[in-house]
Amino acid sequence: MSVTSMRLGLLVLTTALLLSARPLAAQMTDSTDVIGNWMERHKISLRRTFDGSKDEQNPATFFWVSEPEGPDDDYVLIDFAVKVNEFEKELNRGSQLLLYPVAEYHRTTREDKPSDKGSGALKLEYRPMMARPWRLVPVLFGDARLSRDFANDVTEQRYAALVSLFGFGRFAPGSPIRRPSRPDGEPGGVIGRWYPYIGIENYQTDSKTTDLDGTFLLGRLWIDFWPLRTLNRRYLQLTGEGTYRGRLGGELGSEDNLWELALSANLYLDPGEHIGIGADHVRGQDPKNTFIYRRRTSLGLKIKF
Amino acid sequence: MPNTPPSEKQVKEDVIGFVAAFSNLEPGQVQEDWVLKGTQLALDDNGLAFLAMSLRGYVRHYNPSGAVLAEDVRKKGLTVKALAKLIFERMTK
Repeated sequence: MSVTSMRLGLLVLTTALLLSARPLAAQMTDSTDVIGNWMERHKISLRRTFDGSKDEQNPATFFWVSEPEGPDDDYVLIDFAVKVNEFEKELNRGSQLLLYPVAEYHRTTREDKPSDKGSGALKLEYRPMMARPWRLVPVLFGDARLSRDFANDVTEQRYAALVSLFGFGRFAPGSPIRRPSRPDGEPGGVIGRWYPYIGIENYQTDSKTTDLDGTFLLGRLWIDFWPLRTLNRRYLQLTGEGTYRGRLGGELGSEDNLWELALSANLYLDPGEHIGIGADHVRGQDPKNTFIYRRRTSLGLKIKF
Repeated sequence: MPNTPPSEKQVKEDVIGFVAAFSNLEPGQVQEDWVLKGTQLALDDNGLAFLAMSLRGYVRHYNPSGAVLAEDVRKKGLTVKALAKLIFERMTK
């Protein structure tokens, strides 16, 4: 048996163990969702990242990546982030400020671009006014992050302030987009949602040899699409995120105009959408790795609680 | 002087109205046992945070010291019925 097939076998075995811990029928009800309920009680969320992008809606990932034409035939890719309790404050009447800490871990064992990065961040969400029909309202996201890449001996700071919009109405940002209701009155299922973002980011990178920084104007469009679903069950999630960064200052990054495209497909195996099999494609300058260009397709197990 | 709180039944109807607006549904299409984050309503954390703000304003109309936090509304498995009960409690206690 080859190493490749052994790793694939391990992935399948892990999935099977996770699913067979309880009978599948028992997982259909929320009250038996033991892990999910425990994490909810302790106010813990597990995702791929909490970096301010809508990747936050994606599950944590433990990928085995096959890249036959790359410098490694295969390598491991791990992305997970943990969010704990949040603090809420009403700064002025009718507003909402949320503050919460986040810890993340991202690792790739790829030989030419190894990464072993841990980070801690303080994040902020500010909603200055209540949502009202037919009016778009702003949402401010702030992020101060300190991270350390142990594989490359690099320390990085990131500060970001992004504004998004939220509104009512069928195609308003943040609002669930539904299929039309059936003639008998049953509502159509939610098939999508989108958010726009604009803001400013500052990165500071310190390594043994160089200290670099860069400030960028950021524009981002995120789209979530559920093409395969009924009113009561969702199976397939497709997400797309396009990000543009225009340099405002500093020398970090190879170009003044930086682009990033991330596409993701997740097929969920349980009604709670905790466990799934997913494929990701990402290309463009990587803000998590000093804006080095990368193009990557991966397939693996996804976990979200 | 605070306004007299409506009946529990009226609060439930009003809460269903709020949930329907945020879910792009008619109030008559919302079922009480649906979970806010569930597949039928599919409210995300951002939408739920805005829903919490609207419900806080609704509660304060009757109970100026009443509070509704984002974490109250973002709770896993929270149904429309449980939310209506929570809002009635916050309004009357």
